[in-house]
Amino acid sequence: MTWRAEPRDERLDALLGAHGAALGRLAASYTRTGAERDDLFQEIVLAIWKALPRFRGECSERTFIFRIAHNRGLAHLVKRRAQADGWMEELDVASPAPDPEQALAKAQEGRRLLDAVQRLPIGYRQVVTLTLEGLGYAEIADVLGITESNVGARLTRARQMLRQRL
Amino acid sequence: MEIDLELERWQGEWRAHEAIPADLARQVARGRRWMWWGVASEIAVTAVVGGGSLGWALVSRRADVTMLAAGVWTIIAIAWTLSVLLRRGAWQPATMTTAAFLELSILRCERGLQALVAQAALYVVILGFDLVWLYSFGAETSVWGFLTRPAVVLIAWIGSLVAATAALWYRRRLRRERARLLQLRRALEEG
Repeated sequence: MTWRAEPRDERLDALLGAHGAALGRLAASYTRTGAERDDLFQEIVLAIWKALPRFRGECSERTFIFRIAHNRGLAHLVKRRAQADGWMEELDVASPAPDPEQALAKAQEGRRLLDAVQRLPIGYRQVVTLTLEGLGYAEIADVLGITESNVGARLTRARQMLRQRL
Repeated sequence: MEIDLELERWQGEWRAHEAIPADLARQVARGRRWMWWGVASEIAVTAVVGGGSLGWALVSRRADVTMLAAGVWTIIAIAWTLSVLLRRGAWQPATMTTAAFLELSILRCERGLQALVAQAALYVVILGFDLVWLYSFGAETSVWGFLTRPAVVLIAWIGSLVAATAALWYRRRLRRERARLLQLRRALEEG
């Protein structure tokens, strides 16, 4: 590993080249609109850029960036202005009624899964998004700071909920 | 090895989304510039206020100005000490798990609320010191006359009212944020 050899910007470019699309999808899972997703994505990228000098390869590259991305996502959920019942829906079960912007997007085939994931409770959403990006139980546990058995239990329940919605 | 067809199908559908914002480099660069401005402004304030009072004391060689400089630097030392104490254990390592991040965010909110109390106390000390210094080395003989001078009313009393209002607003925001974080922690534990 030659982390120290590369300038920070080049390292960031390399990371975004390899994982940028995944980070964009992850940002989309925490947000409701395209503009919000873009803002969160920028926060994630900036947070990764700031954290790069302190990264010494203690974990895998994927674990490193997904930890930062999910942490920024949680911070975004906390800071975002939401109506009282809307806030609770973020944590629990989301309302089945989409807003007009999302209703149009939902008509497109490719949005079905994203919409269903966005409406999962936050604990299940985190596990599902990482699974969909190809991470295994051990890696997901490492990112989220939970046990592998917890990952399995959440994933099982999340898949049941997704099947009902898809 | 058993193939999970459902998961494979979902993964294919999921990864069909690219969703990377255009013009990313420019937007990230702007975020970096704001970060450096924040750090620079903190240093600038300390340098101007502390350096300015010290420079004035050295140039004027007046006892009252020397006392002012000593007071300014004492307050700066107290402020920096409080800042370091309130940040202990609250720095964020790059490889923090999301569970640990949540705990740290809660800790930071609580430290923020403690910091508000410390800052309010420090503000009272600064205001008191400044008023005593101005009164002691000014021409005013009546305390009431001094306290009701237009400049004192504007800066000390109205300024304090504005600062108190801002502090109360920020305190309310921090408490709301802490409540949301605690809800989030409960939701993740139950998940």
